[in-house]
Amino acid sequence: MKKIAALLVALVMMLSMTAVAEGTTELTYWSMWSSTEPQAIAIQKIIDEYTAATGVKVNVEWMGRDIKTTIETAIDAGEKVDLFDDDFQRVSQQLGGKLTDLEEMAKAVNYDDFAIAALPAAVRGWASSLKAIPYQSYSSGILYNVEMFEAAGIEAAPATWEELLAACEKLKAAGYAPFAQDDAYVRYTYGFLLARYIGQDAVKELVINGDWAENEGALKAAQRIEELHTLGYLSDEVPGTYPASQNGLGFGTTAMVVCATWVPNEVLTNTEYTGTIGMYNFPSVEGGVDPNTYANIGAQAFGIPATSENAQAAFDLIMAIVSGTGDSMLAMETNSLPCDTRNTEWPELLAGCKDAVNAQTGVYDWNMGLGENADIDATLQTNLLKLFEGGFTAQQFIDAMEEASK
Amino acid sequence: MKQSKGMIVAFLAPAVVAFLMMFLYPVTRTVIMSFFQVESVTAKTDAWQFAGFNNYVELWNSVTFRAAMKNIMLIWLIGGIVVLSLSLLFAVVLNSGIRGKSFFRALVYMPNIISAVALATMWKQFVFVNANYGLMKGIWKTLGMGNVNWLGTDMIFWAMLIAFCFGAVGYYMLIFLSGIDRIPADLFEAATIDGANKPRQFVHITMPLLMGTLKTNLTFWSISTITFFVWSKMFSPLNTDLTTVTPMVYMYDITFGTQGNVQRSAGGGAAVGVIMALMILLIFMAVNALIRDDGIEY
Amino acid sequence: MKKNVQPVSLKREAKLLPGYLIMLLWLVFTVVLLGWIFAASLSTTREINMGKVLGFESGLHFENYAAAWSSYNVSVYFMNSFIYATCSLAFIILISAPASYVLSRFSFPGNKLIRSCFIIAMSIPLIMVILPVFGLTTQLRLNGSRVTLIILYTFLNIPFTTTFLMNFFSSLSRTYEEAAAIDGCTPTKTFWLVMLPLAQPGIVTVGIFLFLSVWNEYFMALIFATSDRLRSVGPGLYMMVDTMTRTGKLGGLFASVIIVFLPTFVIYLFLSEKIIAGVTGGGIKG
Repeated sequence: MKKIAALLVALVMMLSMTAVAEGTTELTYWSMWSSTEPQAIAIQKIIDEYTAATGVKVNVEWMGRDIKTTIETAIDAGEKVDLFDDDFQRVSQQLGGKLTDLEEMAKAVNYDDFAIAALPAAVRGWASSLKAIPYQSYSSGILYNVEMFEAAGIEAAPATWEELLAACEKLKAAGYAPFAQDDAYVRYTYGFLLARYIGQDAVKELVINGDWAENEGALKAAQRIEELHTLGYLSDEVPGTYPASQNGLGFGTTAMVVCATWVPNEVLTNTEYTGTIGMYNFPSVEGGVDPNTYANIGAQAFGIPATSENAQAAFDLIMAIVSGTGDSMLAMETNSLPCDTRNTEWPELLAGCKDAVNAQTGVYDWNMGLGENADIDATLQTNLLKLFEGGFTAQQFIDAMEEASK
Repeated sequence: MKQSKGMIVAFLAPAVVAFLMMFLYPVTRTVIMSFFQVESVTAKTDAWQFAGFNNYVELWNSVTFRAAMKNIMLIWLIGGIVVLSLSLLFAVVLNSGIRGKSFFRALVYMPNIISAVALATMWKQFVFVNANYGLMKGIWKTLGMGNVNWLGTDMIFWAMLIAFCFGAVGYYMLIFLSGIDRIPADLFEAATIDGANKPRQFVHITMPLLMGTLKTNLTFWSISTITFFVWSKMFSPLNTDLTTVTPMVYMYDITFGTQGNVQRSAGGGAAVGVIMALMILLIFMAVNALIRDDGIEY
Repeated sequence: MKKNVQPVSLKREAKLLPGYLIMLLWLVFTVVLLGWIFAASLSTTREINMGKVLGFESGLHFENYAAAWSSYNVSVYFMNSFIYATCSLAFIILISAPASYVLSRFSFPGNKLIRSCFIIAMSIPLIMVILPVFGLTTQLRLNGSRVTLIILYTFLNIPFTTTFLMNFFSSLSRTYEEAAAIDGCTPTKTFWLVMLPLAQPGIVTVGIFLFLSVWNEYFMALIFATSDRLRSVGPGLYMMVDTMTRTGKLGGLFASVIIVFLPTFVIYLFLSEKIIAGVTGGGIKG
């Protein structure tokens, strides 16, 4: 009741504010970026233009990633925050109840006509209405070094696990380590395999109920990783300390890594590699339920606390960042995907990912839902590292998970 | 001497207020909060729900917390043995009359003045990540550990502990040194005249008279390891990992939430604090019961 | 146990050889560690990743330092650490010195209790107080300002400093006060004009120690200094290390480690004796 009341008050205030306070509005924006990151620099540019055009002053607090520890307590305590950003799942799911509903304002600017449909859909799924506006989106799959694929004579991107293994064999014969894997993404890779076998909903059930021993898909997914290990398809440093292993793509030693569209940019800055990094969709597996066109798509998102008195002005600023020239500039300067579908021009670095992204038909959560049960997260991380190291067989991995969940 | 009540009050009041606000109030509140179900640290007390020992039971059932407890005990025990014996060794060596005592003393203490973040980065990057190349590879090879993956799940904990101990030794060495310095020199002179050699002097004079200092060191060691946080963060920066998690990291995670983790429990965080404080208390009592400080005044 | 410098006697030195070896091993390791970090700070990411740090094949990359300095707010972190350390230091001394003087000089009911409270407070782990303090500062809307952190650092260090200075005051002779009293000085005046200056060596010692510990403090700063303009060197460097690992600017990463390391190192070069005295002085009464 309280929340609804607060929401109504906020709405009323917002309407009255926009009516009278034109030109005198001051917004406070808590940002997940640090002031010197490329994203921060691009956003600051958009903000400056916005201020010049509207006269609305914007105070930015560059909080960095630790915003997650402060934003909720700040909203609870009623601190003046008119907009903030963070991972879009956290904004919608964890904070959704404390944010302004943006459906009306979004309708007024036909937001849904130009947004990447999957992103607001995910927000609505978590928060039951549009409580956050996604931007800086990414998609996922298997990133690969195009030159190595050519040198190994691989003509078509693998669509099934068998084709993937065949490709690995060719790469190995050509003198490349097929797969890189860094510690930060072991759950990501396993999550992909697991979701291909049993689908994301079943993944969530599995981590919550903990019946690992009975779940055939869980074992099969682990066996695929064991397979990569025993066949020698993982590079020497697997699992590397992020980003050590992934850097192999740029150093010319390793051909592929399961990750997301930020990899080309990371490889470029880490290794000064100037060739092309492409992406194809994570292959389907035999007997699995999901096709190879499902992928984890994600973004950062802006939210407007229900306590904000300047919701409309904050929303206008958000729109300046997520659509039109602002969005395009942000994408270009940070080498990320544009999230306004009217911006068809992609950063050159991501050209090799475009076909894969356009072919995608379904959306997974971060880690394909493996994070649903926070309490086994650390256990899963450790046991997966062991699986990738070869210290665990697939069966031992399942046993360890079963034991930890009981 | 003339005593003025007004002056005593005025001089003491700020310090006492600081104590009440920074220690007494928070400690009391933490203890109470640990028996309530509280989601957000900032929740008003009327939003607290009494939960009995529920928070403690949940901690006990959490795999991550149990791992954190195991880790902190290993850090305390193994790290303690390594750090205290190394620092005692250094103190004795420095006191044996070698040249450059104050230089070496400053050298061993130096890591303590460096930001832990910087120190951990140095260790992690140079000794462990870089283990596959150049100089460190040679050193590890001669030690017979050429193929150890230091940052793998089996070794990362030990890598972290070694690096932590390197930084810690200096502090305890200084305290041992000051303890040894306070042993009257004539005791050693008398022993030398009686024909006792250095090792015998160490066992029969230095050690017994250092018990009080050892107690001090054990106390400090316990307090500083209980709040083990930044080293764990440095060695597992992106994901909390069973191999390196400590109670403080766990408390931070459940109080503020982590990526993809929606549940938070400030009550649980408070319970972690209470358990840690109880552990320190237990250690104090054990140390006091086991180590007899004969109260020799020098 | 100051001894006169002894003439070199081979027999005597030979006996100490194992001791020298241990110390030299430690010295070599420390020098190599720092040397490598310094070399890495002048190399490119590629060279570091390939393990070719000492080759300097592509020359010395001083631009790493420029990049670390300008693309992160290192100067802001420094300034914040400096403000936190100096301000809280001033307040700590201002509060602790009178308290410790009164506690060590006068007997009054509650003296022993307060002393014990301070000693207990020194052993209360931070983890036990941090949550309510955070709740309180948030409710009072004190977060997001430097003052909060300065107050917290001040309060947090008062038990230790008071206990430390108590030892110092009790070692001063009472004749000073008696002389001042004869001259007609009130006790309060005596303290500020006579006793406090006399305690200067103790204050300097504990002051340097406090300064360095606040300068390097991590956990409180992480929780209470959340935006870029408030961050101190500990969390600031953590963020730099984090982003530079993410973006693969390893040369810059090591440059920032060196940048953060240098000021404290230089202070240490000049003041190591004082700093060490501060540690042992606090250690005596644990």
